[in-house]
Amino acid sequence: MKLDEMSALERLRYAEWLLDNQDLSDIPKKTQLEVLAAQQAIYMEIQALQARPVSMRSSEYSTLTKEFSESREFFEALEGWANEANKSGKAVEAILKGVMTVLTVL
Amino acid sequence: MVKQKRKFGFIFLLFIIPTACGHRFEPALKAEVRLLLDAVQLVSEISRAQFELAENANRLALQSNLNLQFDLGGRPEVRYPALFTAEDHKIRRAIFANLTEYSARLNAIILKSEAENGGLALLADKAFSSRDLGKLGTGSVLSENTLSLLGQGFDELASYLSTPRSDQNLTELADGLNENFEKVAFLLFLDIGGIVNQSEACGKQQQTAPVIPIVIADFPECRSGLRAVTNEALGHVTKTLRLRLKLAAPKELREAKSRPALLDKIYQLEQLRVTIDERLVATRAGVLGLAALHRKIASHLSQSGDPQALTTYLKLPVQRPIDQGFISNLETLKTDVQNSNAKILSALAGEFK
Repeated sequence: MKLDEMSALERLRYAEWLLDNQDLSDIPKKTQLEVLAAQQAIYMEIQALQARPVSMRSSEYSTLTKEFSESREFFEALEGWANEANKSGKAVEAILKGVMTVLTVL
Repeated sequence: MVKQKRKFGFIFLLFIIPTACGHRFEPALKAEVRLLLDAVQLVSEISRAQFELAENANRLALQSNLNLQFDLGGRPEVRYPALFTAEDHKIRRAIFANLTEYSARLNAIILKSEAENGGLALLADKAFSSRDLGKLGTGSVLSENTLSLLGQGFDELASYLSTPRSDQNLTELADGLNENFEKVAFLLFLDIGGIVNQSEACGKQQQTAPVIPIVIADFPECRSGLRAVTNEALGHVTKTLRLRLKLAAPKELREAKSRPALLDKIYQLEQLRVTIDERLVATRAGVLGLAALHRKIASHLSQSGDPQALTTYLKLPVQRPIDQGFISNLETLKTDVQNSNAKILSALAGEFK
């Protein structure tokens, strides 16, 4: 499925999957921490989607928690790092894709 | 003023109905209303414990990730957003207060004993109405039309609890309220929901209203609720613990005394994730058992004695006989949920065993 055909929840799940399947052991510690924080932000948003009182299901999928919407800057910084790392031939494509997917939601 | 009137009416009703009804009730019916009161109280306690457990599992998920970030030298901002608001909890307590009050009153009427209606005064001002419905985290794909129908059910139940109807006979009352009782059971069923299904049909979350009466046995499993959030939380915990093992330095892995404990913790949490979900499914079945029991009572009370003549809202799956065994199962379930909650709390305190 194309990204623009996905619901916000599906995009978050996809981004989560990409980040979860990245081998973090050989990337800088600072980036490891950023990926962990990204996983936490995505988790919080998914939970908010699943737990938020739902009177109108259609609007639920555009729900952004305060925490998640405030994390845009952080995802952009992580994207900058992943772009640079990619240019130098580092295999961080999954991180980059995951971050860009989240940014389409934000 | 309105509230005062309602309270006054409520007290009035307590005195009127027992004297207004001249029925001689069968022993089977008396046993059923006793079961209903016990079951409503137990399901109420179980539901409350399940909500607490979901919140604690969420805290554990957030804490596991934060711990790993700190251990890797990070300084993350510590945030613990709760899954549900205080209002969400309050509304559910109010629903159960209404059901308890209603069951206690039915009990008092049928057993003709004022002494049986303990706890009513405590609950008198908690009547729930459709105005609160929009705040419910039902996790459903209900259309506005369905929500409005459910809302009418709450209004009628709440108005039964708060306005005097001395001329109404018990038979009509129990029959009329059966549908409303089932609507409440349906919302409690949705609260527990299913684990979010990634299948295409569920992923799209179409705005289709369920056909009424709702065939609950075939209800799609993609409605999010307690099952989804608890499963997600515990999945986040074990994922983070695995990441902790991956990110540990090779030397650390060889020498870490805590490694066996960490491996065991992952295993135990995975087991707990499965058992917690099984108990949520059992709670959902308990909610449907409540609806089935109420239907049985209403059909005993109906003049024709014909269950087909009753107004129903749900098409319930085939139930096991609802007897004392049903209550014993709920008691066991309550203890099990409390034990699971204690395990999550001990994991939060870093003392998981």
